[in-house]
Amino acid sequence: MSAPHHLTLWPRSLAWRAQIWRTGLSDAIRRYGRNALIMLAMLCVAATSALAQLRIEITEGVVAPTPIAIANFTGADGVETDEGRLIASIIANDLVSSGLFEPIDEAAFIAPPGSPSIKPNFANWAPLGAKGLLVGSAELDENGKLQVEFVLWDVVTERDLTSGAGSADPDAMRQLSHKIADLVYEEFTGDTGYFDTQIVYVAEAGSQTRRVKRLAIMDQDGHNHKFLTSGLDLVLTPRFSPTTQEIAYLNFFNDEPNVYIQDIRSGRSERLGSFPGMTFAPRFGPKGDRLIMSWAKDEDGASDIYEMDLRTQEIRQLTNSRAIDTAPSYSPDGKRVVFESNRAGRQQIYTMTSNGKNVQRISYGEGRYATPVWSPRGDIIAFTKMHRGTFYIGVMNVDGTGERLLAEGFLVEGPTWAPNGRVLMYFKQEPFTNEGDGGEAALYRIDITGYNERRIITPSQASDPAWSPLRR
Amino acid sequence: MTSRPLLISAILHTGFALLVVFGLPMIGRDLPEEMPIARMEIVQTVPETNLIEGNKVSTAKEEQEATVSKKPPPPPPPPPPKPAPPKVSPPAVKPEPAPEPAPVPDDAEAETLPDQPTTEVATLKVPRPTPKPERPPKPKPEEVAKTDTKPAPKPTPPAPVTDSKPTPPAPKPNKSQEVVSDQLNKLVKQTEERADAASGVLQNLADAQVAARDAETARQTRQRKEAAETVNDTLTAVAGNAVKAPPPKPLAKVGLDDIGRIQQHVSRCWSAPVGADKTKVLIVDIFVRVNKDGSVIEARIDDMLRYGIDKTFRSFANRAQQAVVECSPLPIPPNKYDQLKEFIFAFDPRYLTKLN
Repeated sequence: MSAPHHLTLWPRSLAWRAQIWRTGLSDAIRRYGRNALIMLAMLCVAATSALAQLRIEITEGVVAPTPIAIANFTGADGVETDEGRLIASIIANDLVSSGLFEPIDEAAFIAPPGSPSIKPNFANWAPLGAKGLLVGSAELDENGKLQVEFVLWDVVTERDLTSGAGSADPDAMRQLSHKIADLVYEEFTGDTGYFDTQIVYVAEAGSQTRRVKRLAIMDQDGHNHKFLTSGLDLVLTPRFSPTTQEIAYLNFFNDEPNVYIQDIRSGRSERLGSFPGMTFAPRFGPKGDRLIMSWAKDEDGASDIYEMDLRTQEIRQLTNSRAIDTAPSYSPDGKRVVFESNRAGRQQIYTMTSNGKNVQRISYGEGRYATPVWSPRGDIIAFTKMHRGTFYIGVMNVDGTGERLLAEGFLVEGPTWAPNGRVLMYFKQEPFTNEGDGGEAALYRIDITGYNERRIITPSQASDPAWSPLRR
Repeated sequence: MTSRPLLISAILHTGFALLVVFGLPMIGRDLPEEMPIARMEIVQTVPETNLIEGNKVSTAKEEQEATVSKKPPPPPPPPPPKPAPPKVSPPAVKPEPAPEPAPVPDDAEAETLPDQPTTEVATLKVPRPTPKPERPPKPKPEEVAKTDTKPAPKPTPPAPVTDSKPTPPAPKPNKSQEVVSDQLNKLVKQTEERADAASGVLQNLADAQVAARDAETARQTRQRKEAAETVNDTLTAVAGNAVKAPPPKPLAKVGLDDIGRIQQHVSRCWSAPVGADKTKVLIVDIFVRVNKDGSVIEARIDDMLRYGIDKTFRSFANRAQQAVVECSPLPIPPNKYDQLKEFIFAFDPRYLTKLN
């Protein structure tokens, strides 16, 4: 990422995000209050009139990907262009990878799509089974910038769901496409999208004994891949800042592990501070102004959770046990922390307030629990579990109830959340053979429903992924 | 000091006041249109009738009588919020400009009242389910401004006769006519008295005038009687035949299996939003009206305020509405049509999110 791209997209949904209000108590009162009033009115009138309105509940539905037609974007004269085809393919790929959409094959289209300013003839799209239709146009203007417009239609009810326009430098076209895909995703699922995001991970190569590990970053669909470190030093556990273009990670310099912060754009890396001993498992606070990590001061094998204010560089100790307290993660509101500790004998998961008080154990199943991560939605916690030689990725409620295992393998570890709290990424490693081969490590992702486990293609082996927030 | 009668009086007054407040027609059920801009340009407008299910065939005279005594429908709600902050370059997607009258070719019942511009986006006028290839491109489905289509206490006549010329207005001019004819009669009487042995012409004139007066009186009586009947009938229709109504005939009971069949049918079309945010309460009510054959006339999203504000709710509501439209015709047993011609689907995804 060199010079900042000029990328603006003005879908009405972005303006929306700025003014979304949580429907709270007042709305509930208005809603129910209004209904109560109407009931009263109807009761008085209805003493003489017909029966009350029948209400039929629908609680079941069909779990299937939504069929959607993504038309190639057109150019100035309403004809498809190369850019338009690429944009459509990026969007379709994103949507299908989520497991929630099923883009209809272009070959099945009855008629070519028009430009977004024309209302389509839905008789051409309904027979395909499409529930949605995305049409758009992409043209280069005289300054060489890409001007994009799009409309998302509801084929069943024959009206437009959302539309927008944007402009971008041509080399930001992929990002623009991801943003459009996010809008389509949001419209149909009600969730925020996650397509305009990046993944930072540890790229691995080499044999078991001569492993080279480098930090790498890429778009969530695997494109725009870039290495961030040279591989000279061992690196681990990279994590994104939620607000800045920075990554915190663990760097072994002179065999000494310490937390470093790297600016993605400039590539500059610097050590977080001078801490005697070992610091590891860093994570940013939700506002990007704090860092929480584990610090082993002495050589006695114990480590505690510490929090550092990134502006003042002040350090605050949060736990004080003789055990290994590590892998801390903030709740989305920053008020609580979940972490891993073996203070009870084996690795378990604990929550506490962000000032270190009120520590509570929440994991009680069989096996060992590690690497807990709080969901961006705030309602569940993902973790790694080890039991009888098998690893699992699971989720549980914040109070420890409702434990569910989503993925399993010889070694699966290190879950990280997509910014909408719906998808988890982790890495899976095959066992090493006696000869020292094997041990392939790759990134996988899975939906919290347990469906749609997919492997992410990377140039080399990969581990320790971290998902960025939505790019702005 | 006796407070008891005072108390009773207060209670009765309060009761009366409540009856006045709540018993009168509830105008404008919707909360005001201050909701933020609909990001959809669709706001669209095909004006839609405020259809009242009445069955009295009205003549022009009766319609005029009725409209004289009843209030016209309330003024339309403020015009739809025109979206588009100027920075958005709208793809000019609005398929039609606002005040285009709806060709609603398929729905014979829909007629247009002239003063009903519509604002709501979410009510759907559903096209007839079988898509004929040559069907004209359906315009944006239209919406009703009034959400309450129960036999509302607004007895506009069922068949709006929009092009009826006003009949000769009844009471007032008749009154003056009466006065005139009274005077004329007096005059005639006087003349009669004066000219006893008057000519046959005068006598005939008097006779003719008497006859005219009688005819006039008879006509007025008949008119008044018909007007009273109309009012009575309209009131009766409104009040559901409660006033001196015959005992209602027993309705066929809607059984659980009828409901179950409908539920199963619609569930097949509902794309279930699994994995959705469990922290939100997302029950969507869709108000539905059907024809006798089960085809969906109207599928309207309830709670437009939340629709405009809550993006997740919006998405769910759209999908729920989609499910109803797609699953038309619904399996409505024809002998229970009266009980099932309109109802509400409550789409509740809570149980879906319990997985695995």
